[in-house]
Amino acid sequence: MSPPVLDVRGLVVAAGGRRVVDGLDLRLAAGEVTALVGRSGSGKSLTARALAGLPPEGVRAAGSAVLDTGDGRPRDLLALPEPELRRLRGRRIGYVLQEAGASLNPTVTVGVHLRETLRAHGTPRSGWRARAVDALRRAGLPAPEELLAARPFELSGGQAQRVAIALACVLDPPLLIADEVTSALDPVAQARVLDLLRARAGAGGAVLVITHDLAVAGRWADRVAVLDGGRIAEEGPAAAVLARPRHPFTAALVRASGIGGSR
Amino acid sequence: MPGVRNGGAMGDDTGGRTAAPAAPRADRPRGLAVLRRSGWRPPPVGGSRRGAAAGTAVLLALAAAAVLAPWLAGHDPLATDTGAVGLPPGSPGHPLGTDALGRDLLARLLHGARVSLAIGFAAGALTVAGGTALGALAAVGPRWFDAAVTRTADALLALPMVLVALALAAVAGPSPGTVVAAIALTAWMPVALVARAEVSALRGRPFVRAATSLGLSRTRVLLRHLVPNALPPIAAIAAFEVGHAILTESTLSFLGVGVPPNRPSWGNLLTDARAHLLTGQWYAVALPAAAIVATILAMNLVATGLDRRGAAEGRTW
Repeated sequence: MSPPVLDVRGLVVAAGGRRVVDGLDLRLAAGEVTALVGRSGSGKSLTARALAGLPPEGVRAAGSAVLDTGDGRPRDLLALPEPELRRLRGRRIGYVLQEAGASLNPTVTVGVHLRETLRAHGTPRSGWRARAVDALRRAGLPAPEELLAARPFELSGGQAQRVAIALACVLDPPLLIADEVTSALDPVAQARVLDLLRARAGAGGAVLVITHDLAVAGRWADRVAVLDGGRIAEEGPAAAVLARPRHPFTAALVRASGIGGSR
Repeated sequence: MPGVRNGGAMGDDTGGRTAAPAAPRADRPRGLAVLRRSGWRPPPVGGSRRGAAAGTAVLLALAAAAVLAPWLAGHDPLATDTGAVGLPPGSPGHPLGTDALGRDLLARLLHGARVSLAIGFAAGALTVAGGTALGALAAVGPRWFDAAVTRTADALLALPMVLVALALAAVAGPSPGTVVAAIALTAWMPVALVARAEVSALRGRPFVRAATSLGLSRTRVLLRHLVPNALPPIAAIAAFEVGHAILTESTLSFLGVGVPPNRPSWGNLLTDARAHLLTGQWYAVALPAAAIVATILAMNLVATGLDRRGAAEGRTW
């Protein structure tokens, strides 16, 4: 088995003295979609934000999260100084937020968003436009050329989320963290976005999908990790976990979402 | 379109009553009347938008008068004429009369507009740019810098600013540059505090987190994402700051520490005229005072319009 893209061990995330996440272990492999499932408030989003190096103010993360940085020197994200972390963001780690529309700046166009990201990582100016158009096309957006001039409020929720994914993937990061990216979308837009995440894994990336929706996890993820009480209660191939849940919490989740083992 | 409405009558009326061409008192109705005759209508939105349009029109007219002063004035604003001392408005050759030294008041008012408006806009721009930069840096910078900016602002806000500006101008000596610096140094605080509050609030917004997660540097996040989104409320204060700057320039010049007395500015005109206020030459005071009031009212209308617009359209401008 190849080394994981991200190896999280003993992650502790504390907010206001309370350990919301307490000893989480998770391995994300290349070519796989892993779903992190749990109820609201279980610390899924805090985990995602801690791994992306963007915890909310007053929240502290400890433990280790070793990222394969592609240069033979894996690095612990939780111990990296900000400037080094900044170089990894966008280039090695993509992070997409739940609030699709709100994750785009209302005052600038889609094209400026893409350009700023490319510029931040030293992509030569001449390559900006082609790469921006390519990223939008790969995100399944029709007429990418025209879309460059669109402003965020002109986009639908599904379009905005795909633009956000295009933005996070414009530099082809091997790790993509998608935090509840489909929660606010209708089923058709949801399926499109999830297909896109699957395609990332198909192209060799590691994808972490944070969701409270077990049905989403069962249908699109290769592996499912169930978060309960700040730890991973159960982890395994999606089909196995959903068909024969071993942990009582997982069993309760499966019953509640009515997917009862079939996939 | 032009013939449909007879709103031009008002403009004609005013123009007819004031015999002289381009009398500043007629500038305001004249400017609007020209717009009306050309078929322009205020957009049918709200009162504030109409007000902002009217304010903009007045400011454009004043700016045009200031720029064209050498051609409109007809007299040298500094030339004294002992044969025509203290003439009332409407005198032949001197549509607004002359002052106690026989200098043409229209010429002085127009040339004064150049100085007063230039200083007002320069000081307003410096105030807003400096205040925004300080406030934004305070919001994202280290804690000690934030504390330094907010405490300095609080301390300065507690002082009577005219006195501080007066002291600064008195030490540095009267010159337009001094006036601009004195105004900016004593007026940046409200802008900085609003910019700081806006940027602080924006820092928690998802798009800022998203931009950071893409690897943008803190400087780029600040310049590209935080400051542009903080601008609408700042734009509203900016307009008020220009009005305030024009008023402060007049105050400083009136007190003798602003624009050098030999150069006409609206404040200097008031200084020159104040001794004659009770001797029947009311117009020597009333005309520059009216120019100042009209400018500040127009500026405030524009500010209110910007403010409402920002509030109505929210974060999408």
